[in-house]
This record gives sequence, structure tokens and C-alpha cells, in this order.
Amino acid sequence: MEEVWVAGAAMNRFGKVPGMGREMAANVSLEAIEKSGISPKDIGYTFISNAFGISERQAHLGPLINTSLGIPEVPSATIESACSSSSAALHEAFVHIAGGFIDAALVVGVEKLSHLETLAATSYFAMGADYAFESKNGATFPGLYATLATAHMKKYGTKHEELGAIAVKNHVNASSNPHAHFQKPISMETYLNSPMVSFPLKLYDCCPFSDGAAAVVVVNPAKFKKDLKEVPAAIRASARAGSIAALQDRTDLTAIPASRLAADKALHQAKVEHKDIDFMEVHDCFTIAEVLAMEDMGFFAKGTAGKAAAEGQTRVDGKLPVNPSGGLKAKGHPVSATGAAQIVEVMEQFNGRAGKREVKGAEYALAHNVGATGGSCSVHILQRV
Amino acid sequence: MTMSETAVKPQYTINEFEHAYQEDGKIIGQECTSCHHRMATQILVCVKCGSSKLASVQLATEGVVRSFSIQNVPSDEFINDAPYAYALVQLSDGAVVSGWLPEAKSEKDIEIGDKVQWKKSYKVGMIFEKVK
Ligand SMILES: CC(C)(COP(=O)(O)OP(=O)(O)OC[C@H]1O[C@@H](n2cnc3c(N)ncnc32)[C@H](O)[C@@H]1OP(=O)(O)O)[C@@H](O)C(=O)NCCC(=O)NCCS
Ligand SMILES: [Zn+2]
Repeated sequence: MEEVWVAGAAMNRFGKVPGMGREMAANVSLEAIEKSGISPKDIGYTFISNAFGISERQAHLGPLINTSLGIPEVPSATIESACSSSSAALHEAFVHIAGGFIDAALVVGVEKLSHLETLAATSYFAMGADYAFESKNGATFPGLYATLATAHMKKYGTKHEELGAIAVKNHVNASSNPHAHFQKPISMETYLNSPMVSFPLKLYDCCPFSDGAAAVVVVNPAKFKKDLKEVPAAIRASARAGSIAALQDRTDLTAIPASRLAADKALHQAKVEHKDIDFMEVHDCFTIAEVLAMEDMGFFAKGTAGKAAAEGQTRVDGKLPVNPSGGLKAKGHPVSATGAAQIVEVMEQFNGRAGKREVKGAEYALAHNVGATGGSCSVHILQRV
Repeated sequence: MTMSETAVKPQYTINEFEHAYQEDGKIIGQECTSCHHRMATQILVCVKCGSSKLASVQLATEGVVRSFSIQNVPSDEFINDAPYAYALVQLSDGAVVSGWLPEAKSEKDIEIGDKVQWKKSYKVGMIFEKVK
């Protein structure tokens, strides 16, 4: 198996971004390629993610991006895995390079949602669930995570204030991230007083609807090491797993099985242990999702992650920093851009550009990205080279 | 051999599942003939034991709330019904289905463990009511 390194990564500021998704995607792609030190002509494959492209009447984005980058002859494919689309695309790139089929790949995720009203966006997002059996019976996307939250709160006594601590932390982290959708810290009071979206989840438990794009350039160092301009991140593990699609068919409503499976595989692949991970970017589409991620991946015992967050253990200066970027909650969640954006944060950290949210001396980072309610999940482990 | 001789036949189509609760007044599901696991979601192979020997069964129409949430921000199909509760209902014969409770407008109106009964309706989806 060939080594695979992240050589460059770029994203735009998430939020309400003018223009079309394809433009954002092309812009961040070129920025990531330029940062990496390789040239567009070196790209052997472009993997694109754009789950809700249909809202812009656009599919088949690959050739548009490649044409825009001056490499129309390069093969491309769209990889869709709901909210974990671009980490699934990264996995495809990893497999292609590790297997020796290509030497460099471009991974880009993009979403444009701000032209949709709340109602239309909520209806699109419900598409990530099982339409016939869940959405048609009243499930919304926040509603499904809220249903997991109700079960977790009942079984383990998880408190609103513990979920609130996660929201407050992620907003603080995002306040020093110039790419974040929300850059203002919030107080616990603001959190507790925010309106209920889907009981037990309040507005500040939810990630926002964001536009945005993020791109990652991955290479085989045997071929490109001498060209690289950034401190690279070696991908020590690229693992994916799945769970039963609909919540109604799962035995445990307080865990996401795919997170545990993917994390176990990843730790094994990377030959590292939990204690070796210096920080993680995890899938916090809702605060409860951060609790589940920390527990399901085995970093905290079931029922204890909320308390750990409330104690400050997952702050940037804590024992195990979680979501220094601000996470989906505050950095924003342009669905298909999120997996790639997690890798952008890893590169910002490894290259000493994270400013106030820097995790000092970090060597190993873990990126955890969930598709929908865990029907799919990716875990990547990266090491500073 | 022709295609029709080899083709896999599900116990019911999704259309038939919906027709059953909308028109025929029953909730249908599958039972695995090997491990007896019951599921309403349409499948071809048992998720528990891997057997493809499934039988179509009529499911119970009453059960208890396994978990729930209250929707204040609905999708387009529920625009006139919010707020309402979305619930995972464990039917008395073991299968779990998704349903919604138009009468449960806040968390004060519903609790995990509440007894609920399915009610045929002209509205979208499967509607449950609390058993008083
Ligand atoms: C919570 C939610 C319903 C709000 O809907 P919305 O259309 O963004 O709401 P509005 O546009 O009316 O926003 C109202 C205000 O709250 C702010 N806001 C919106 N969502 C927010 C969030 N999640 N966190 C903090 N503030 C938020 C907006 O910036 C706006 O502030 P402003 O008036 O100062 O500009 C929506 O963001 C949502 O459903 N989020 C979850 C998305 C999801 O399911 N993602 C998939 C997960 S895998
Ligand atoms: Zn079985």
C-alpha cells in the first residue's frame, strides 16, 4: 500500500455565500492545489460531493470543476453519502492513491442552501432519512437527532446544561476561526433561552443551514514530496462503516453503531490508541451528536461525555480538545463540504495557523463525519509529518 | 430460466405497506421465519440473522413510546400540523414503527413508555393517540 498525504486544503467562509455552488467549488479547489505545491495537471482524479446540487438544478459537477481548472481530460465522479459525502470522497481518493492507481487527487465538497426558505431546506434535509418509513411519518432531520437525545437524556440523565456546554464551547472556538459561519461567542443563558426547534433540541443545539465549499489535495509522497509547500498530514487511517438506516429498526437509541465500527477500524489501521489522539473534529450537527461521537468512538464511557464537556475536558485547553474549528454547530454545516472542511482544520492546526484555537504540539488528529443519522460514517486519522 | 422465475419477491412493496395503513386499516410487517425478528421497514433479508425467509404478517396496532421529539419546524408535508410529536412506537408484538401524534404539542403531552394506539386517518403517515 502506498502512503497517502494531505498536501493542501482550503475552504471559503461558511454562511450565506453569494453565487453558485460550482463557483465556490472551483475557487476552493484551485486554492487547495496552489497551497499544496502541485499543479492542476498532476491531479489524477477529482472526487466531488454535492448532495443537494439538485436544489440548484445541477448534477454532474465534476466536468464543470475540471474544465474550470484547465484539466477537462481528468476523470471525475460525484460521491454522495449525505452529510459524510466529502469524507467518503476522501476515502475514495485514499483508496485510489494507496492502491497505486493514481498519484494525486482532488476532493471537493460544496453546498448551496441559502436560496432555500426554512421550509424548503427542512424538506430537503428530510431526504437524508428513510422517506417512506421515517420522514413521511413525521420525522424531520432535527427530529431524528432529537429522538436520540430524548432517549439519551432518559437513560443517562444527560442535561440541557451539558448539551449547552458543547454549544458554548463550539461557538467560542468558532470565534477565532475566520472561516466560521458564526464568529460570536454565546452564553449559557443565550443557549437556554433559545427557542425550541425539536424538543429536546433548541436553536443553539442545531447546526445552521450554511453555504460553503472545502477542498483537499491528497498525494502519494513518493511522487510529490519534493514539491510540497505545506506541513503535510499523513493519512494513517481511512475507515468507513454503516448502521441500519432507520432509527426505528435499531436496538439502541443512545448510540450510533457506525461510529464505533469506523473508529475501531481506524484506530486499528493507524496502530494508535485513544490516548494518542491530540484533538478531534467530530460530527456535531446537533450537540447530542457530539456526545454520541465522543462516547461511541470510545473516548468517554456511555453517559459521561456530556459531563466531560461541562467540566471543560473538551475545550481547546482541555484534556481532549473536540471541534477546535467550532464544529458543524458554529463553523457551519454545508452538508457535502463538511468532511473536507474537517481536514482543512487539521491542516490549519498542523501548519500553525489556528491562532487562539491552536492545540499546542498536536501530532495526531481524528476526523469523524456522519451521514444522516449514522447510516454511514467516516473516520480518518491524520499524523503531522 | 426466465427473469420472473429467478427474481426476488419482497413480502410487500412500499406501496402496499402504505395502502395497508391508509386504506385497509392495518399495519403490515415481515417476520423472519428463522429468528422471529419483526420489522415494518421493507427488507429482503433479515437484519438480525441474515435469513431471506421472511413472511408477511399483520402487526399489532397498539404499543409504547420508545422515544420521541416535538416538531416545531416541520417539513412541507406537515406544515399545517406543527407542533406535533414524532415517536418511535414499539408495538406490542415487538416491531417498531415511526408515527406521529398530532395531539402531543409539547413535551408535557408525551413521555417515554406512554401507551399509544394507532388510528386510521386520511392524513399523511401513521397517526398514534395516547391511550388514556
Ligand atoms: C435550526 C433551524 C431550523 C433554523 O432555521 P433557519 O432557516 O436557519 O432560521 P432563520 O433563518 O429564521 O434564522 C433565525 C436566526 O437564527 C440564526 N440561526 C439560525 N440557525 C442557527 C443555528 N443553528 N445556531 C445559531 N443561530 C442560528 C440565524 O442566523 C438567524 O439570525 P439573524 O436573524 O440574526 O440573522 C435550521 O438551521 C436547522 O434545521 N438546522 C439543522 C440543519 C440540519 O438538519 N442539518 C443536517 C444535520 S446532519
Ligand atoms: Zn432473522
